Amino acid sequence: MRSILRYVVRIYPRQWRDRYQRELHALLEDIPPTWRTVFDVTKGAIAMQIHSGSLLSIGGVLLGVTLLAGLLISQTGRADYRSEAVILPDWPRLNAEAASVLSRDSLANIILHNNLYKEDRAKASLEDLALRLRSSVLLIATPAGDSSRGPLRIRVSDRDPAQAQRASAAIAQRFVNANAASLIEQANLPVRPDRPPFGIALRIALAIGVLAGILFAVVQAFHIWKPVALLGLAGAVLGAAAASALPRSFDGLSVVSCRTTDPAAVRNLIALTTAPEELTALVQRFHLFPGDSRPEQRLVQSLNIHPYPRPRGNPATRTGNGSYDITIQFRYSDQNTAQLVTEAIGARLTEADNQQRAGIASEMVAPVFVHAATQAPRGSIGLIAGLVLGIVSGGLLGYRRSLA
Amino acid sequence: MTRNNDPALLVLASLADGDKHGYAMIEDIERFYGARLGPGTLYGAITRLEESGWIAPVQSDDRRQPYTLTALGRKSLEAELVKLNELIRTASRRLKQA
Repeated sequence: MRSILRYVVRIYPRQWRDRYQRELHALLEDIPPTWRTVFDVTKGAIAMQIHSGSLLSIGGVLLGVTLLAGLLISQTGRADYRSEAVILPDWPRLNAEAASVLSRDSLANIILHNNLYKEDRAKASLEDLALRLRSSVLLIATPAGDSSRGPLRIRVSDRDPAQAQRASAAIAQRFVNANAASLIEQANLPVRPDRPPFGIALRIALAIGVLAGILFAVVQAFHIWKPVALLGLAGAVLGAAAASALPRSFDGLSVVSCRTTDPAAVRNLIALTTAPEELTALVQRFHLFPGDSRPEQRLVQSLNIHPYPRPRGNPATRTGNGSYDITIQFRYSDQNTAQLVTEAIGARLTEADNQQRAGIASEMVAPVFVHAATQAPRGSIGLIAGLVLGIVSGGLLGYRRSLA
Repeated sequence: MTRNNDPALLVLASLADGDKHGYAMIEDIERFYGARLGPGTLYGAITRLEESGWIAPVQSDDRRQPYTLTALGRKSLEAELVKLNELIRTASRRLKQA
């Protein structure tokens, strides 16, 4: 308890301690150490910090800076414009057409026909831009009594409001042209960007300001600026370096639907598609796992093909009870390869030759999505984690030194 | 400047009969007032009183630092006691009348 009291005395302002610390320590040696004493000394230290003005001035400046930052972020930060078109789908048909309308070829076609991403087309491939467009499209089903029978909102977010409108209008039109839906509302031209609300930005800034004020007051009270700053910086650099050095991986995801009630037939189809000669062909075609002595084995480890029964049938394929969905998941270090391999496996599952041998019909119902796998560290996460670890270890080290 | 329940007034009252260090003040205040000041509270009061020039440290070889009441502190304590006496008289009179 006495050691805790010695630590607490260090919360007093430096100037105060120069004058009174020795005699306060003498007094604390004379009285029995209790939690009440610890509380009283802590209260006195905080009161003296406020009295000396250091805590208030630091907290005030930080609060002002963060409030200003919050204001700037909420007003000038990156803001996307959202355009929405509303369609009334023929749901089974829409489910069947979704893969085709949102496929890379279809989106690339939309980009070219509507002159989207004009400036970016010189810098990025059409495939990349199609992927970018896919990631900016959100399909939002609106329940209307029966949850699956409501209208569907097609929302596209973009920095350019006119571009967002053209894209959402074009995608809606594709569904209409495929007789999968009728148009209810034309895509709107957004007037205001979708910025984070001012109030939320201010509240976040306020919380950050108060926390930073407390942190800085503690740092100042213990005079641990140097270790905190140095180790914080070193931690941030090391964290960012570690995050960028660690290999990243991407998941390709797609779904194939089978018109059968026979699980053995589905398993047979999967077995045909993942036969050793098929895997070898995939490895050779996409040059998978170069430098690995057993690339086929690595492919099997990175590939997850799993059938799921759909007892209520699949509206996309108009099958009755007992159809199957096969999910394909392939993890790879290169984003494009992850997508291409997933797509190739999906195509193989739906090829007539394989279907004939398995005795069932199947078709792809979901386009290939690719996203960074969960274990892939992002640069910013590494940087922040390193910074926090550096500050904490710097604080502890400086604190120990200041006690010594 | 002080309130009647202010630790600063208790410190001034404690030093009125002679110099004392922190621990002696805590014991003395507990004896005549019935309240035990914590070390943080006591040194908060000592800091403010010394800044105002009402008390001053006394030269000592002891590790415990004694304090003395200055002339200004004595006058301020007297003025504060006059106010307190007036408060007590008024409150007592009104209680009797009620």
